[in-house]
Amino acid sequence: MANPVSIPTTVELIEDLRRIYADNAEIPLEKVTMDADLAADLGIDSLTQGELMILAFERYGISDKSSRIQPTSYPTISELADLIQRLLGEENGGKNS
Amino acid sequence: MHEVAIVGMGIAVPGASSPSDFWQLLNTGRPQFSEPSGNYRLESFWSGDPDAEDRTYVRVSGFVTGLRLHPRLATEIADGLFTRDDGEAIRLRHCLLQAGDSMTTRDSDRGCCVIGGTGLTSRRLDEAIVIEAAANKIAARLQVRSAADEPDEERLRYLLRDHFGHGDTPPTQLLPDQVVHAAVSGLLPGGCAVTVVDTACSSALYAIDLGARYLVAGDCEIAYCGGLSGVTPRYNIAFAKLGGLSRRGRLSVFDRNADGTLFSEAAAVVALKTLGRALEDGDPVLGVLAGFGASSDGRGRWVCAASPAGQSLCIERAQRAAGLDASQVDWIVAHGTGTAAGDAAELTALAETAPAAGRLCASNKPIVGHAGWSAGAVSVIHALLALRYGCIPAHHGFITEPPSSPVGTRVDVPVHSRPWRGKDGQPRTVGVSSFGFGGTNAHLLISEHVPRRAAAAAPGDPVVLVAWAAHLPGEPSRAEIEHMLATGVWTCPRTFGRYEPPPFDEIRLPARAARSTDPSQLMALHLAAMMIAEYGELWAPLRDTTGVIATLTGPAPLAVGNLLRCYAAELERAVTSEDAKALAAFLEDVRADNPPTSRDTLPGIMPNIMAARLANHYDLHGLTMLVDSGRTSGYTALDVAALYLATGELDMALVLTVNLAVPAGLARLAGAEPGTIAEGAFLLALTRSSVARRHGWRAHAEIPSCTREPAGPDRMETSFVAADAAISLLTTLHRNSS
Repeated sequence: MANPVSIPTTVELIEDLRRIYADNAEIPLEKVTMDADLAADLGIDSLTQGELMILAFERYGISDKSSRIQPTSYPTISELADLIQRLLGEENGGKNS
Repeated sequence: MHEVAIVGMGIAVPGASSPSDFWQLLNTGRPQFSEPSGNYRLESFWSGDPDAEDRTYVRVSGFVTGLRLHPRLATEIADGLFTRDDGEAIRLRHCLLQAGDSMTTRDSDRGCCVIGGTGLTSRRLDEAIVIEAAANKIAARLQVRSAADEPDEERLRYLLRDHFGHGDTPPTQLLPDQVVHAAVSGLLPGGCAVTVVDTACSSALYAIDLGARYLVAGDCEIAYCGGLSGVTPRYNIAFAKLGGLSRRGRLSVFDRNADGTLFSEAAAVVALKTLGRALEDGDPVLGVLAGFGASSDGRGRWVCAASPAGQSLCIERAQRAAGLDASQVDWIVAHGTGTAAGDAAELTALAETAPAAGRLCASNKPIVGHAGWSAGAVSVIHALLALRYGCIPAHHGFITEPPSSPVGTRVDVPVHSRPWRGKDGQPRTVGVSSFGFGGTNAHLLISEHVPRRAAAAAPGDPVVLVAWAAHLPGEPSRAEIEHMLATGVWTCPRTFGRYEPPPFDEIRLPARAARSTDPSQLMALHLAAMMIAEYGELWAPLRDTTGVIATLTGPAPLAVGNLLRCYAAELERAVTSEDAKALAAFLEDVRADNPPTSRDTLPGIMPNIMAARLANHYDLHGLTMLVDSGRTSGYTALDVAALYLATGELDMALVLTVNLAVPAGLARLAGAEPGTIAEGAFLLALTRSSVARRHGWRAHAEIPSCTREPAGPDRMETSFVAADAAISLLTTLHRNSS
């Protein structure tokens, strides 16, 4: 049986996501704080939010979930990190059963 | 306070040349979309691949073809007063004449004409810009030939004009304020003051409200108000990159199948008088303006995303202004554009503001398309016709609501037409919604007869200037600017050169978006930061009632670069043989200097977003608007700000005036001596004297009422064009204080 996807720690995940968002949206890294609102504070439009979310999902091997999730429902890095941890948990749970 | 009556209407939309045609169309429900055929060559702008660079995926739009002209206009055209270069002016004049047919005018009448519009949807203007810029830049790349030859620039200009079927109309006549001037000329004995209003797709509703305010303020006796909008290849390309156009080429609204909107050519106008004057003259009163609500979305979402909260706010404000509760509004002509995100936001707002019995609403866009800058006036005429005929036509093309939508519970869509009778002797009242890109929301209530509630304007409460900021090339200090204002000698450079975006904290834009954003918008954000640094955030206690009135001179450089990218295939068709190499080099430079059309393009080049950015950044919920009356735009902006402050709609108005040099090669579009024009951006914070006192702000100067025309001949050697109004105000201030 394949190894279950390892769930990163919250700190790792947030740092990773900050870097993905900063690099791809071209925003200074120090501005992409975990609680910055992606639209209101960083000026990222909803289409780009969707693309970045898919990028983040792909990084953690959960690309198949993206179509059912409304990106603007997760307006900060910290909420996205929670979402990804939850999805990874579900995926591991599914594989173990 | 005077009530304002609608005494006439005129319309030209795809498939309808008059209000009665339009009524028939609303009732038969046949969609009016087609390929551009004679209008432009689709193949130069279309691709089946939605990711194709600088191409649109949509084939159909709404086109006004076979317009049955108003008889007087038909005669004027036969007499050569208007040529086929004047397409937009003809469409608007047709509507103005229809609107004027039913009313009486007196020789002493002063008129105003307030039209929602933009150069951005004028195909002729786009083509003229391409002709001028391309001729200039391609010629510069050609070897100088013998002096006996015709100069290359002139030769190429003729070649391109011929290609696009343009006559020799000077391109300046295609600018929006000039189009409106031409359309309204000779209609009223005393002439007509022209204001072009730009709040994107809510423009026409704002124009109607502004015209009503001019009437009530006694500035005029007759107000022609409405909107003019067109279909351009570039707009269809930029909107496609936002995923906003229907891939099916069909427009469904509030429906599960809704997959985007489709734009239309249109013009629509209503004629307004005070109710007293209308009754005195025996004019038919088609409806009475019962209440208007304006709002900006403020902070929270991306600058161009629709916000249910912002939309609800303008609906509630309109009802409050009319002294009505939600149950007294019988139905709403919704904005209803057919984009999934736009429909969802609007349905949420409609549900939130619905009375207990639910809210009936319909949209005309499935039939005539999205009339853009004129959409609000088209919907007002929809409402007036329903009032006249006592019938609410069916909402066309509705099959089934999207999942988890309030349709069927809080919101009701009329699948069949239904009679519209008053209940319990109450006057029938209808609401009209229009929402603009950038979060500029408007809602207008129209009734048979509802007394307008007296407005709050207290006499003896003048409008005052409480703060200012100036952003000039070379970044002179405030002391240096004050010195230049006092002496009238402008020692700073005349141009910003290549404009570097301000720091991230001032603009809060990803670098990619900033590259596609016109400097005027970045300057607006920088000015606000400068003002805060000097005075603190004055509007912080007044966010709900702080608005932005902006002006911008000239076509934005980024918009021109993008336009040339979009017209590359057309240029390659027109410019061949010995010029082809120069064209290729030119296009290579254009592509290197301008990013491909993307989702950032439209927000980045739409002039009204300049004002909306401030509302979005600083969470302002008053109205945001761009006004254009040519060189006097700055004075118009001051005047409009004073009107909304005087009636209490706004407690603070930020007047933003930006002048940027016309891009190289477009001197003929500037209509001013290039040598005297200087770049600069100015932000003025205005409020009422009582508000300034309450907050302990120092009032620097009183704003004279009605500042629409400059007081004297233009004596400035350095002209900031529309921003001259700000200079003249600040000059008075600093001459007096020094």
